[in-house]
Amino acid sequence: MDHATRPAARGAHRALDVLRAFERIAVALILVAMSVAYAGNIIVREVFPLAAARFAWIEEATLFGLAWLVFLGQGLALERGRQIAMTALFDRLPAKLRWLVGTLINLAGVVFCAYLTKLGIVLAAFVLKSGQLSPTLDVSMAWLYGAVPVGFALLTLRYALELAGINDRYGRPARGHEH
Amino acid sequence: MAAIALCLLAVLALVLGFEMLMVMGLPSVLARFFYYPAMPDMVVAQKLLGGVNVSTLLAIPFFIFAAEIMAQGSIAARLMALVKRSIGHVTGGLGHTTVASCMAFGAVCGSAPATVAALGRLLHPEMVRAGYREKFSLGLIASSAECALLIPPSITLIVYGWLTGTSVAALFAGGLAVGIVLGLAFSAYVVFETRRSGAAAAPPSSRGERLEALRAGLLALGMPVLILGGIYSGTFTPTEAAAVSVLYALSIEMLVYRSMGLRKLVSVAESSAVTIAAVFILLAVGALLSYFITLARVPDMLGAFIAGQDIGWIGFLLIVNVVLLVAGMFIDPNSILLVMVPTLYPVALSLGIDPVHFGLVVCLNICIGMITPPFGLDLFVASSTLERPVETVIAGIWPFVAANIVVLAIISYVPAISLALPRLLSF
Repeated sequence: MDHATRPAARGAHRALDVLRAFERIAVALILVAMSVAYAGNIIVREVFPLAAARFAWIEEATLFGLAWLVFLGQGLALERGRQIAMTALFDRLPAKLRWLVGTLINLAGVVFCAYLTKLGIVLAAFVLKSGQLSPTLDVSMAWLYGAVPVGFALLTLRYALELAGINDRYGRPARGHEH
Repeated sequence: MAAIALCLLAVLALVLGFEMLMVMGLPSVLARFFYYPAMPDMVVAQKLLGGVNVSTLLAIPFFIFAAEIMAQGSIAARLMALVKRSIGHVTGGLGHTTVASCMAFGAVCGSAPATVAALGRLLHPEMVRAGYREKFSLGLIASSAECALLIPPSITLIVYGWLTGTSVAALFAGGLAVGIVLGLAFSAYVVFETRRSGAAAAPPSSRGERLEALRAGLLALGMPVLILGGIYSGTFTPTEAAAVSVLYALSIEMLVYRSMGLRKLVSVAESSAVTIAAVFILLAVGALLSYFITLARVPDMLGAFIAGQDIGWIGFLLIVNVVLLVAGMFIDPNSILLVMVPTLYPVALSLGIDPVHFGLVVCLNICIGMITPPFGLDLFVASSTLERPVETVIAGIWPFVAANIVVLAIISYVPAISLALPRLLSF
């Protein structure tokens, strides 16, 4: 039976679609919100200089947004073949060798990213316990550090999906460099 | 021994096509196991976040987003039309139009590939129709886009500024001068090539047509005025100018030109975000790698070695040029900066090279790397956006690589070109 027709596999695919939709909306919204808030803050400062002090938290909130945007975007970037890699040699390999090297890359990706996920969790848990607060937002710094394990967990998942043959970033024609 | 094994591992991973995040990340993680087993787990994750959580770097997502809005909207086309109406009729007019449009778009956008993608499709068919050889046109487009990396805003210069603590505003001022020198060098070659191929210039535009192009492009021209004027009048920091440029681009594309609706905005934001994620993960693992390179005292050893050779700043810059040129043929710009700058910068300082001058030499090297075969990034972007085989692009690129190397030599050995403008603006 094709794996897509089994109920469990169908459920997994649906869960993946939901996750992807969440990532896409989240990164787009964060970017628009960051830009508008940061630029709006400057305009307020130029027009009402006295009100500026009340919006000092915006710079920090924008940096929080950047961290989450960057790490939440990792899975999408890998899946779409937009993580930067130098694939000129890889693209020219004979099919069998290509499969072998691709598997090696994906395997290394799973191990590397899972390890960094673990380190990220250790750090976020430590910061949470330490009770360290952000300077202007008055929330736990764990809200910032949490982005790291989430990003690497998303990458681990994507590398695992590549390894299992469910995703294929190399199959996409637009693979390549991004600046 | 283990250090050599780690370097070999990185090179092997690079060549085999591992994602750059692993090319830089795997050796860092292994270095920790081999050399610093007592280092707490948390340090690694902290360095990763530390590479992203930096106010100076906030300018990059904004400039990437603004560039994508302008490329998907109509600002790029309007700027090009304005340049063409102004200078298209002189000898080699379309060639000069290509150079000048890339410079103009470079003044609103900090990325060379974005410039190739935004302008290439508009310029290439026109140049071929006017009688330019195809490979010349492709080479000119791919290389003129480099000016975007030099003419402010420039993502490369922002990253360099962060790595070295150099003023981004001063780097931008120097980049403007160097970008203009590079543009002039390309234009000189355009004159030569036009004589050879006898390509036609565009018909002269009437006064009415020029005024119409100016009217259509006026708001687009407001963008560089806002960015540069804002920074150098002291109203904005570069990061603030970047954020304001997003708001400006959004308002004129969505409200005035109506070239972008809400749905398109979301898709532009999403694709910009993915680009930003791909750039910043390198800054994150790059920060980790730089940390280990510094711990291993590589800059110190290199500095001591070079000081022992007694080669002086001229010899040092020559070595830097050769090393970065070769690295640039294979590795993407941000990875080069992250690996090489923390190593070379302290040596440059100890030899008395000005940080701004050194930054522009590094940036110009990176520019050349982007158009140098086999792996120059712009070559592939030009090939994929213009749907021409990469071999054709490469066939046309060599004269531009040569012109670029001449400019690099001039910029390296005449520091005054890079430094005059920043000094005039008293940085």
